[in-house]
Amino acid sequence: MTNAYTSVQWNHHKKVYDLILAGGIVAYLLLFYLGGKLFFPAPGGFSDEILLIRAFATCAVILLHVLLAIGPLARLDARFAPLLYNRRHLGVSFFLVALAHVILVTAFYGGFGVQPAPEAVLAGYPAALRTGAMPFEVLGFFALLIFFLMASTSHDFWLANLGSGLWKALHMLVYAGYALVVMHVALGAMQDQTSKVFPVLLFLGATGLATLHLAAGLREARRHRAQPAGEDWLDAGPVAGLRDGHARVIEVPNSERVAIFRVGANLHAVSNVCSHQAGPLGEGRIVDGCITCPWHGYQFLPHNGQSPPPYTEKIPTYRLRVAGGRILLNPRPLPPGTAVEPAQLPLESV
Amino acid sequence: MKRAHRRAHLLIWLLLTPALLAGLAWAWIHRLA
Repeated sequence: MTNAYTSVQWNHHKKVYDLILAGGIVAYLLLFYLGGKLFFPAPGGFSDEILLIRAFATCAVILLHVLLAIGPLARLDARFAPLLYNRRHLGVSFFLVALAHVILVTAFYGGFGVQPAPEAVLAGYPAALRTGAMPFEVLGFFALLIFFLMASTSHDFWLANLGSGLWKALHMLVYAGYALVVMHVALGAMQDQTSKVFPVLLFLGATGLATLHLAAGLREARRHRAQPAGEDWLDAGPVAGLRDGHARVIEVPNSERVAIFRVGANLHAVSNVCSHQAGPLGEGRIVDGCITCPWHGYQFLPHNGQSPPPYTEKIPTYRLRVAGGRILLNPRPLPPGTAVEPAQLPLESV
Repeated sequence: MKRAHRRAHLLIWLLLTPALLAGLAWAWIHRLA
C-alpha cells in the first residue's frame, strides 16, 4: 500500500519472486545458447548472434504466455494467486527480454548497411512483399511499442495519475500485443523453419490461453445471484457455512459484487472490488482485523471500508441484517468509507 | 475484478480466439505455398 512514491516497496515475497524470475531467465538463455552450440555444432551450426537473437525471442514468447496465463489461472484456482502478486515485475522483465531481442535483431540485420539500422529492418519489406514475404518485422515493432507503454506505466504512480479507467484500458492492450506477437512469429520465424515444432507450439500456446480465459469467464458467469427478499433487500444465503475471517461473494443485479465478511459474531458487507486494482476482496481474508486483498495486500477496516491510517483508500459499504437464519443485503451501496453497524449472527451460529 | 472488466475480457477472447486461429491457419497455408 502506498501513500508516497517509492520505486519498489521491497518485501521478502517480492525478493523471492524476483530472484526466481531472474534466475529462470538467465538459466533459460544459457541453456538455449549452450544447447544450440551442442546440437548444432560448427561449421554448419548457428552463429552466436543468431543463437542469442533466438534465445531472447523464445524466452520472451514463453514469458508472455506465462504472464497471460496467470490471470485466468488465479480465477480458476486460488493456489495460483501468489503469482499475481508481483506480476508487474514479470511484465517489465518480459519487456526487457523482448527489447534485448529487438536490439540484437536491429544491430545484426540492419547495422551493416548505409541506412540507419531500424529503418533498414522495418523498411526492407516493400521489396520483400514483391517476393511474397510478409512484413512481420512491423508487427513486432507495434507489439514492442505496446509493451513499452505498459512497462513504463506499470508503477502505481501511473495508476494514480492516469486514473484507473485509462490505466486499465492501456493495460488491456496486452491482448493486442499478444495477437501481434503471434502473427510476428507465424509470419516470420515459422515461415523459414522446416520443423513443425514452431507451428505446433504456437498453436498450443494460443489455444491454451484462449481456453483458460474462456473457462475462467464462464466460471465467473455462473456465480450465485442474490434473490429479492422484500422491497429493499436481497437474500444473500444462509447464515450457516460462512467461516470466521472469510467472505461470501454475492452477485448483485446490474451492480458490482458484494463481499460479506464474518468477523467473529459480526457480519460486514463491502464492495468486492478493491480500490487499488479491482482485486476480488471477497477472496481475501481478515488479517489483523482488516479485510486483506488477495492480489496485492491492500487492507480495509470491515466496519467502514476505510484503509487503516495513514492510508486513505476507501471502498463502499452495505447494510446487512439477519432474519430467519438468512443474511439479507441492502444492494444500494453507501458512499465509500461509510461506517455501518454490523449484523449480528444468532447465538447458536457463533 | 469489475463487472465491466470481466465482460471486456470475455468479449476480447471471444473475438481473439477465432482471429488467432484464422491468422495461424493463414500463416500455415502461406508457409506451404
